[in-house]
Amino acid sequence: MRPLAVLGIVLGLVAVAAPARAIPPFARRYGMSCGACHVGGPFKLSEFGEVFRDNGYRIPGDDAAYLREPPVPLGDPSRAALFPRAVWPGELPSQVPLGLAGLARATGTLPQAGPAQLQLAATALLLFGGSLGEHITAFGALAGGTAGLSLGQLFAVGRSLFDGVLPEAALNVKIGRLTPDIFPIQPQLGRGLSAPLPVTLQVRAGGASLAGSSEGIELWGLVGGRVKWVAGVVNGNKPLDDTETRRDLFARVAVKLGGERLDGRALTPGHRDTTSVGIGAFVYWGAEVVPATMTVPRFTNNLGRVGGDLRLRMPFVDLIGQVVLGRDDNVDAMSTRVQHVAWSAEADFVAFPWLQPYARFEEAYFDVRPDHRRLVLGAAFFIRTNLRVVVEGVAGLRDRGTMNGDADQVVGELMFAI
Amino acid sequence: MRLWLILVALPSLAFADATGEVRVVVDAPGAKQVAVWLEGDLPPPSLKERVTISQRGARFVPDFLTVSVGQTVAMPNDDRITHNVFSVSPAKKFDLGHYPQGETRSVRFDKVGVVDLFCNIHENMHATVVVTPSSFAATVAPGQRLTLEKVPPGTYKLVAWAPGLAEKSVSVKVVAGGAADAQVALAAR
Repeated sequence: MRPLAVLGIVLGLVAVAAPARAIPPFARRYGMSCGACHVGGPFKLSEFGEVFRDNGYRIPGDDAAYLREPPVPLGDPSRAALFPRAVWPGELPSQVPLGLAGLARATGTLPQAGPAQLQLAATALLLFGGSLGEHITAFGALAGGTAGLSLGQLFAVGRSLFDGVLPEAALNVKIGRLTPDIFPIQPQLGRGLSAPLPVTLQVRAGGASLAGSSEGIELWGLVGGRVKWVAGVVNGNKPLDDTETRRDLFARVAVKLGGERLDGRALTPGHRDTTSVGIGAFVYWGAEVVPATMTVPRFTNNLGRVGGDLRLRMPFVDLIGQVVLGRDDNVDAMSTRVQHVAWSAEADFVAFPWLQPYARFEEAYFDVRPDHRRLVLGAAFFIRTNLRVVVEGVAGLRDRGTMNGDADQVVGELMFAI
Repeated sequence: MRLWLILVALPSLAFADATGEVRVVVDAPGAKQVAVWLEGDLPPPSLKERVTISQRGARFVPDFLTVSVGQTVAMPNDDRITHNVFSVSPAKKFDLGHYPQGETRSVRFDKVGVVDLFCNIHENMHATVVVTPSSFAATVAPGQRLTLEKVPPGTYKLVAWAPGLAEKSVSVKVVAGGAADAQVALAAR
């Protein structure tokens, strides 16, 4: 077994540079508070928010009935009958569909060995989400901070393809820069400031993570209001000039029992159950290409991940368990193979709508040391629906007092969206 | 024949003259709707009228309703999306839970007061139900004339209330077959 230093196995939080989170343009479009789609406010999606997202950023059924800002038509709707002799009529949002968010974060790090550190950072996010017509929505997020500009997500959604032939939202497509939708909660949309270890795990510093975004195409659909499938292809972690390595493929199937239907259709009359159980599984198969450095030549690391999740959602607590098994074939240009398992169990509470504590326990095991074990405790305070303060503490529970132990951290973040 | 005509006509003439009406205009700066009702020695509310607040387009329709105490209000979900209706107002605390399109749940308002309705899914949904002690109660827009018909003769307190403004009352005297005109100006609390 190679020594740790050679393998360079690292573990850390993936910096999702410009997450697509709360979207004020949608709040303006529908005259709805952020709290309609998010639990309390940014960022975690409510059941209604998930319905909205899974239906292509539309309110299922008669979306127009909910609009508070009628769009500007690009051609009279009756011109659709002229197709193909005319361009299919579209629409523009009546206001420029932009939103701004600001994040200020203070991170205190207490390494197991070495001096304490304090980092202060601020980030501005430019968010947009708007309709281009009945079946097309654009969505994106651009982040700017001291580290420069970065594009988090930027994609167009075609919803309810083959409308009239297939049921609503049975087949949808997302094209652009995206994060594969393979987890029960997307990395950017969790309660806390860090996504769970199975989501963010990196086997190599700067290496592939399932939380990252890249260019690709994702198809998804809803079956019977209770099943969601996802399949797609993305560039993954490869340099722009790489055209030879195969792209990354992914797929997910999830079932939701109880609670709101995924397609937003009416529940059974008399339905009172606000408790739901979700079960999901995914597979991710791809390769990362690591550019050459002064000491290491360019190399390719083939990787595979399979995972499963179980979610029990009740009115005042949301329990989420996830496990991801992975294998990397070449993490160091010397064909070193690493297998790993990461799992997490999280409980998100709603003490009050404005006070939402959470706790998460997570572990990662490698076939080489060190393993990791962390406890994350935090609370989100919603000063306003669009003004959130989160305080989160992370304790490294394994190999405490040694160089291999994870650092303890205390993080505070203030975020607002307008 | 003549006697028969007299017998038929007399009750209807007597009935027509037995009540009067109150015509009121309310000035309520900044308010969209005003609740108006009469207090005094009046017959109890009939409570037979079906009153509804619909959930449509992620709004309560209407979003301001004046009812008599004891009245039951039906709250159908006419949206495709699921809604909830709840209130924490002292006059009526309830939570109807989540329910889908096509389903109606109802609430009986058995205590006088103002009840604010909300949806715990859609934070912008809000409606106000003004529960009055009167069988003569209605909603009117500021500046519009409201006519309360078939009011028994007598002297009553005419009360007006609007959100954010101080409740105000004036005295009105109703005579059989007559109309009592009143104007009420609400001001900030």
